[in-house]
Amino acid sequence: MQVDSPPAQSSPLILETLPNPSLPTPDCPRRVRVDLDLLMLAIEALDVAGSEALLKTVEQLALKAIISGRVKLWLIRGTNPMRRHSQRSPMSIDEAKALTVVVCFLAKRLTVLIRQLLLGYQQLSDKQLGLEHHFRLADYLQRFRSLFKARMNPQRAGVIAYSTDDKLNELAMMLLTRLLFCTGTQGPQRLWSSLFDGEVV
Amino acid sequence: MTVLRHYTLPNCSLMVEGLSSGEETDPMAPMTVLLNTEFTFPGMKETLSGGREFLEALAKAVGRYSQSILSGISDPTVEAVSETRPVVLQPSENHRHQLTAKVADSHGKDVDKTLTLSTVQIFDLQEAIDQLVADAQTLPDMTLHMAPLHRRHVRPAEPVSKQVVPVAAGVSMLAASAALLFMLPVPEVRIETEDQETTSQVESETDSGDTGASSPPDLEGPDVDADSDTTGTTSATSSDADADINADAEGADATVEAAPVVTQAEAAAALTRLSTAPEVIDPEAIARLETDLLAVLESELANPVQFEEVLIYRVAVSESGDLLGYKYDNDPAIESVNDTPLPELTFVPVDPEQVLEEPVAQFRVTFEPDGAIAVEPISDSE
Repeated sequence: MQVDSPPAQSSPLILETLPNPSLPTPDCPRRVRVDLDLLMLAIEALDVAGSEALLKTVEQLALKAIISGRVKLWLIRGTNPMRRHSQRSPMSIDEAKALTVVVCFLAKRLTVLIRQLLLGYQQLSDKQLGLEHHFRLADYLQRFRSLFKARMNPQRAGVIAYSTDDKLNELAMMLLTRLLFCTGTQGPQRLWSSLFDGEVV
Repeated sequence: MTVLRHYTLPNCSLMVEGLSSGEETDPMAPMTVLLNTEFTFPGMKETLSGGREFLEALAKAVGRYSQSILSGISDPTVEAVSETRPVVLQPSENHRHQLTAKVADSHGKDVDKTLTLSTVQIFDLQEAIDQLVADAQTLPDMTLHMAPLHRRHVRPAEPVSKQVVPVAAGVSMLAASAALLFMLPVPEVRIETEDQETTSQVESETDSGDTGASSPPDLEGPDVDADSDTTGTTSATSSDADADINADAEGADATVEAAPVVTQAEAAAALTRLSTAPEVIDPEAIARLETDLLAVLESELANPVQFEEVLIYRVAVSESGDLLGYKYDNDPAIESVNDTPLPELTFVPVDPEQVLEEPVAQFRVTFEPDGAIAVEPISDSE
């Protein structure tokens, strides 16, 4: 039998584990775009080579069909409305799934560090000590703050809410906690499900 | 065969005790019947233990809670511990989490047990359950239920009481402003004719421009109308309108120029005064006045002539030869009146209210663009 056209490209198998949410719109809601980008920002703050690791993971997980390269990744992350160079283009469900899988994969690799930081954070807050007493934690927070300030548009209302260092530290710790929950056995499913909390109909 | 399985994580370990359904000799037979589960947290004396129901309730509560940590949206359906909800998780102070569970104590009685766990402990608890569910060798019929929260479960960001405040403030402000405005009187509707408005303007201008002696109350509309009715000579309304136009065009001059210079308004006023004056009847006198007027006008007319069209005026002259007033007979005459000697020659009465008793002669003066001037007498009948 002769085939005129190549078989239709199906989405990578790894994404099939994530169910399609029943959304009122075909594209991802605003919160999904913001949360995924911020989680990646937290990974970059944890790992100096984080942005390269993101691209390598895309390749490793055979997600090149969805995220073809550096520019595409930048464009997808640019759908976060808080960004300086925010794209008005939407984020497709497949792109969101791919990013979810990538984030969880990288979080799993950073499990030990994430646990150390969170345990240290708990100890510091139990003793009412400042965050600067934990060197590695202070380093993460400092990196996160500078990345956030460099990439986010300070004019946006969503960014103005994080104008002080304390607020940014709070955000960084919340993202670190989220990353911990991404490291689990069911991490991708749990993260994916949580992204659409309050959005499904 | 009794099977014991351990799921050990750094901050939480789960021990599951159950029976395998397969043959006694098959080590790979899955555990299908759960007898007991026990969660222990290193560094804590408290343990959580229970049967299948407890495990499933715990799995559900922890799953839901960890999702709320991930999304930042808390589950609005969380309530106190009850028969239907044996396990409840709530955020506690200092980044900790409070787990309350209804468990059976050593005597078989249900008691509420409360544990305060750190974030990492909660995660390890959830991970232990996830590993148990993922393990095909242990309780293969156990599944996870994971679903995003429905839109209607998400509480609005602001409570209703807060949402009501701006609305109430808006309504009360509207009521207050309405009450204040109610105190103010309703503005009176004053319908004014254009004539009255402009004559009053003329009045004020002449007052400010002159000595004040020439304030002409006889300029006012109703008076003029009455005059024209009784005498029937010149149409008072038209003279009125002329005065208006001049006043508008030359008002600025009137206020600036010195007293001897006659303004248009004054000239017109003088003319309206004349409407009741008697007429010079003697033809010889009229002829003399005509030649005198022509001579004066010719000597005073600016050279070269500034206007480009024929200008026609009606001019009133006293018996002594004084120019008492003038009025326009065509439109260019209005526009170019300042280029003629008429405004400067006109005699301004000292008391405009005084009725003129000396006889006057009326002439039609025509200024040609080439400088020629024609003067011809007008009889009263015209």
